[in-house]
Amino acid sequence: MIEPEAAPREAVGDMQGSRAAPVARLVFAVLFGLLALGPARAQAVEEWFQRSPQAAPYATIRGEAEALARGAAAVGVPDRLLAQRLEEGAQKAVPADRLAAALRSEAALLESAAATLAKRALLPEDRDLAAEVLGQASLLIRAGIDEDELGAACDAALARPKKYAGAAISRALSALYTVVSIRSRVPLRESDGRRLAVALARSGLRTEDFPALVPVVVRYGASGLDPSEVVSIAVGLLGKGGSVESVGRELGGKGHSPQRDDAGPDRRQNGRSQRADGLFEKKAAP
Amino acid sequence: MMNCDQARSFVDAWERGEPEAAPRLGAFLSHLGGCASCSARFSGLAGLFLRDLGSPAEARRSADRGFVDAVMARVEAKGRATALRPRRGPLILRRRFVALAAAAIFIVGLGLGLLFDLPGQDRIKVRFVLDAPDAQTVFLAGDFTAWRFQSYELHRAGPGSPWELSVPLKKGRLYSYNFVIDGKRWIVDPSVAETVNDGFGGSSSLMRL
Repeated sequence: MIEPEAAPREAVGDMQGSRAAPVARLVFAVLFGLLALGPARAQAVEEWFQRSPQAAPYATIRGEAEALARGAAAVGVPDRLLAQRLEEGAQKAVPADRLAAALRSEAALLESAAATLAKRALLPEDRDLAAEVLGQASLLIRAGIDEDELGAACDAALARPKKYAGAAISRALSALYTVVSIRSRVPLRESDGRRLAVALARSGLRTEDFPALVPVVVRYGASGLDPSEVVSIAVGLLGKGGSVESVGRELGGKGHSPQRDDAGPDRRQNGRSQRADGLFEKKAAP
Repeated sequence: MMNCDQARSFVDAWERGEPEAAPRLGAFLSHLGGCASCSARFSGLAGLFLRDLGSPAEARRSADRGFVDAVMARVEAKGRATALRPRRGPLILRRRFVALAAAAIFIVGLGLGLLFDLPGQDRIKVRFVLDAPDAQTVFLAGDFTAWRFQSYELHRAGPGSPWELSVPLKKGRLYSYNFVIDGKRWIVDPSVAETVNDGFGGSSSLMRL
């Protein structure tokens, strides 16, 4: 691992419960304060350049990478996220200039996502949790979600009666992933994706039930019903406390039954396995 | 027994409106009974599957009753059909018996909350599968491997068989990953529609558990 493992909880508990002398506590507090006030460090990125066997070809971008990491750390973005991108690029044997460009883009994306979450008090203070949440936000944005959608889904999750920050961010990310899944199968307008994400995040559905909406919207969105209409029906029913099954029943009641010929491109190829480059042959139908 | 890939394939077929999915409904329901992951994902749709792929009578019932009731209605209907038409031959009878047993297992599985496939409360074992008959080696690399692939090699039963690897992963988060063919060619998982721009001119597959 690039990052050292986090201290076990037991160790943290022991430290909190210790009977250190007041002077020792004061010294510890002053030292900690000085460290906190010091310039943000790019520890994970520095370590990557020092220790990774993949780092040698990227020595030319080290200065820029560390500067980006320091800038990100200063606004609450754990620099391990950039170290992971370094490792990903290096493993993929990406040229140094392209890796530097990807790092710049990633740093900007992460800083912006951190600001979006922090504004809503949804950025965890724990650095491990913050890294996990921001890492997932980064993936969703690179998968096509925009920052307005991220903010809107967070607001909707926070607007639920039982506010709980940890659950809210998880709910918002799940809703956005559902939109990504649908968009990867049927064309969905940006405004429809946003409406659906907000409706899901605000709905009474359990987060685990979100994925079931994907085949329902795809089935009817690819079968002649306007995807916007499908989304409107789903949003309306979810807003009234409806289930995914109720959405499917309502859409089925519209009289549209998908036919094989008009079902649209099969973008999910079920692993058996056809790629556009022809590397893998699709098994012949029986 | 249907596996997770086949269960997803069944849902895909329903998604595309393929009536050929109907004979696989019983096997699909029995798979849900034994697979916590697929059950969590698809059990909310079982009423729709019954409506669209079951008989008209089953569909009417499933519209009015809860899901387990609907499955039970299917079990009862199958039982009556079997009793009334034994002349259709032993193979049909065996199939009906298997379907009945599968539906019953599903109901019992739901009731007891059986979690067959979970190595831990917060982890789930994910099976990665790739058909790549010409590949010499296939590795898995993703954010859960810190993008190092050398330790995550897929294996196959024999030439022509798919490459496979099971990895326990934490539930409730997103993962991005690639397959690495022969140590140098990075490809997305062809069985997963969701992709993410990797920022390096390529893509990675995206999944949420």
